Amino acid sequence: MNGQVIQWIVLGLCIAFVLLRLPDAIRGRGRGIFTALVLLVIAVGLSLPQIYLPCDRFLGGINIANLIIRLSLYAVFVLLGVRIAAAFRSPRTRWLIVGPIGVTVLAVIVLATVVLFAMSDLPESSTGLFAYGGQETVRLYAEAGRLYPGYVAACLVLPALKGLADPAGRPAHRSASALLAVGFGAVVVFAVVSLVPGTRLGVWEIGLPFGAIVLVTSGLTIIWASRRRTELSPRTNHLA
Amino acid sequence: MVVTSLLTSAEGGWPADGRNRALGMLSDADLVLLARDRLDVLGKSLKKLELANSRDQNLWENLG
Repeated sequence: MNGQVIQWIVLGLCIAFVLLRLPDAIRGRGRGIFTALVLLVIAVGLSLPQIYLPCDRFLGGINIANLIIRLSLYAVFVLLGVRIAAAFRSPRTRWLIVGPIGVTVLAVIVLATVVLFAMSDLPESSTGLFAYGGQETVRLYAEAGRLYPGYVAACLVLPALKGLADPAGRPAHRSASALLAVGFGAVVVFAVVSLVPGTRLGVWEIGLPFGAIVLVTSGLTIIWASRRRTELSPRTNHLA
Repeated sequence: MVVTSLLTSAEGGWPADGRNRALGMLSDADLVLLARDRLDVLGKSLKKLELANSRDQNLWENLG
């Protein structure tokens, strides 16, 4: 129950961040991040039974909604990955995500996700597929769903740390970089820790992924706000 | 303190043309080299500023 409160709060936060960016997105600015945040809202929303169950019933009641969560999360990470790599000027990170290796990783994991989903026996809607946790294919399916975000997040931790370490950077940008670095670090930890069979994460089962979402989206919003602030106040010439 | 213009030369008790005379005693080459050093420092700090600005711009364009 407590976990669900956290999920609702995170959902509210994500929706708020999306709405902040809506006017800019309509004017055609920052659409990549906007799309990523919208997909994130969909994924977070579908992790709640109150939203998942009606949506899945609409989609036929065979847990297609869960597959949608997975695929939108992959898309979120591709979009964020490319944007963040460009923002921190790290062509190597971009290459790791959308270069030959990155595309192969993505293709393999998407394929594995879809195939494992099709192989699982999921006759009735169940949020997070909790009712089917005993099936080996469902376990592997969930594993795949954590691996790709873990991979991209691992690529992004380093550029974000570099942004944090930049002594000439604005305080706002350095703190945003710190939030991104810790958030992606949490995604990596979540993916790696879950790899060990039989781990019980307890509170962190919700805390790690949703904490990561809060950290990353807050970091992005700080950068958005700092841009807004500079544009609203006229730029002063440091020489004059 | 006169040199850093915290005081005027009159307040510091310098002769009225003291500053000019002191400058006149330096050779042209020394003055030019001094100016070059100053410009060098200014250029470096401007370069740093431009770099920081372009980084900010990059961050905003991609994530803002």
